[in-house]
Amino acid sequence: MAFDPSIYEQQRRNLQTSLGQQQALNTYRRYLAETAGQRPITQIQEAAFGIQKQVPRLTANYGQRGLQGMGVRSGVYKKALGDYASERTKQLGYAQSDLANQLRGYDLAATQGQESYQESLKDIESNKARQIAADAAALLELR
Amino acid sequence: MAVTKYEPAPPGARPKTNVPGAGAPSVFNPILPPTADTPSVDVAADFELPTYDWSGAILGGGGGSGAPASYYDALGSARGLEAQTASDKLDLEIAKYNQQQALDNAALQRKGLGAQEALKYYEAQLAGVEGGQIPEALNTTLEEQKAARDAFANTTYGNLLSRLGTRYGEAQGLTDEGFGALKTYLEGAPQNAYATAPRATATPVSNDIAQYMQSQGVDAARVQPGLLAAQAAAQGGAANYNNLLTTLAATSTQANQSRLNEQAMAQRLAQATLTAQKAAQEGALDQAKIAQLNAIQEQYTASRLQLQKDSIARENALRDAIAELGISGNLAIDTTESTETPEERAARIAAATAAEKAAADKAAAETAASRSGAVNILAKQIAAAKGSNAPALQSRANAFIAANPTATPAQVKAEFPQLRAAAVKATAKKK
Repeated sequence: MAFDPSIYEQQRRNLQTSLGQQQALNTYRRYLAETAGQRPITQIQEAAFGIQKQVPRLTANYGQRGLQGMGVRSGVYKKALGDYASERTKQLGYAQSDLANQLRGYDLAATQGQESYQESLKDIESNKARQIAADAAALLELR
Repeated sequence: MAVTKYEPAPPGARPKTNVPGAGAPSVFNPILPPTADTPSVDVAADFELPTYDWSGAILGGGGGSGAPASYYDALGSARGLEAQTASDKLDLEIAKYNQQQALDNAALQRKGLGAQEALKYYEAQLAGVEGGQIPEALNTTLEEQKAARDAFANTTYGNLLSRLGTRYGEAQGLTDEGFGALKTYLEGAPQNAYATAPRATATPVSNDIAQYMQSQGVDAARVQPGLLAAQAAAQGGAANYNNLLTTLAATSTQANQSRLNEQAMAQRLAQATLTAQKAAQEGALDQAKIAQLNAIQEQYTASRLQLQKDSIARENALRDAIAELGISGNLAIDTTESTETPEERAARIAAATAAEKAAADKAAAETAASRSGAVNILAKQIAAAKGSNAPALQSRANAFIAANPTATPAQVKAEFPQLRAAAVKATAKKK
């Protein structure tokens, strides 16, 4: 018996603290994941004309073989460039999707934490109402 | 108080001279030869003195032949004085008797009046307890006590019931308040994390080297297979994510509704519990009240029964007392108050005294007349006898007198030879 609502406030504060910790950790992990996930995308993007110069090299390779050059646009070169672009676009899209999916996982975790927090708050309120009812019944029994 | 009435005058008693039978011997004192101190006659001691012819002087009836003249004179004088004294004594005794009778009548009347008063008291008491009825004062007290105890029990029950109702209302208020607050909270608090979570959008995929391809004379459409694959992957991920959020949001909404249902059920259960508790406590109060009222009723009944027993015992005792009054005869005593004046009463007593005296004297004279002179003298002498053998002598003489009322002096002398000596001795002492 002996209804003491302060214990529910304590539980509420604990919930808020746990939520804050969980959200902070999740946010940080999301940041790390986003950073890590962005890296291959950047590499793919920069690989075409960056240090690796994949496109210029491919064009130069076909130019040395006389399949590409001034006035020359061989079908082999066109197919190779087209295949490269297609593959690159696919890998880049995959990398972006992977990153987006991974980030959605963190977003979902944050949402679940929020949902859990709300549920727990309602649990506390339900328990409090039950305790009030039990105490009222006990008080009546004492008369 | 009984009073021994004087005995009838013995044979030889002499009435007063002014009434019939005057001259008879006194009732109370024997006629003796005149002496100053009325000497006693010790017959046994004088038995051996056979000198004087006593029969010739007294009992012969022949007119004094042979007897000294002085003796007859003395005897006659003594007889007159003695008769007067005896008459006075008789008057006194009759007066004393009548006075005592008056006192006795008064005492008897008081006894009768006392009995009547007792009867009135008993009957008055009986009226209050007849038929086992409880005396009014006790009955009133008993009823008042029962009413007070009943009222106390009922008032206490009412107070406890009212207090229980108040406490029940408070408990119900607390419960409703708690569950009401919960309901308000459940209805108002956010349960929308999934519903409001940002939906995913497919990351756009583009061919960023399309311009270069065109510059190289390569058709940009050649990138289409890769582009489609990337777009499919992006869209698939976003769609799955959004579907998941939608599902979770729906589940969350259902969970909240479940919570509201739970709150309503818990509230109803709590109310039912309180109602059951209230009913149980009301039942306990009812039981206690019934037990208390029953105990009061039992005590009341026991008290009434005891009082009725006491009343019946009292009634029986009163009836016994009334019956004893009837048996004693005191109720039959005439308690009519006399209306005669003191003078009338004195006159009545005097007349009665005179009549009684006359009757007594007449009876004594008749007795004396019915006897011979010798027997009368014998009776006189015997009446005066004293000593240890006097009762036996008197008994013997009385038997003789009864059998021989007209005995001659010789017969008397033969039966009681010592009488003559006694008479002579007495005469000598007088001289």
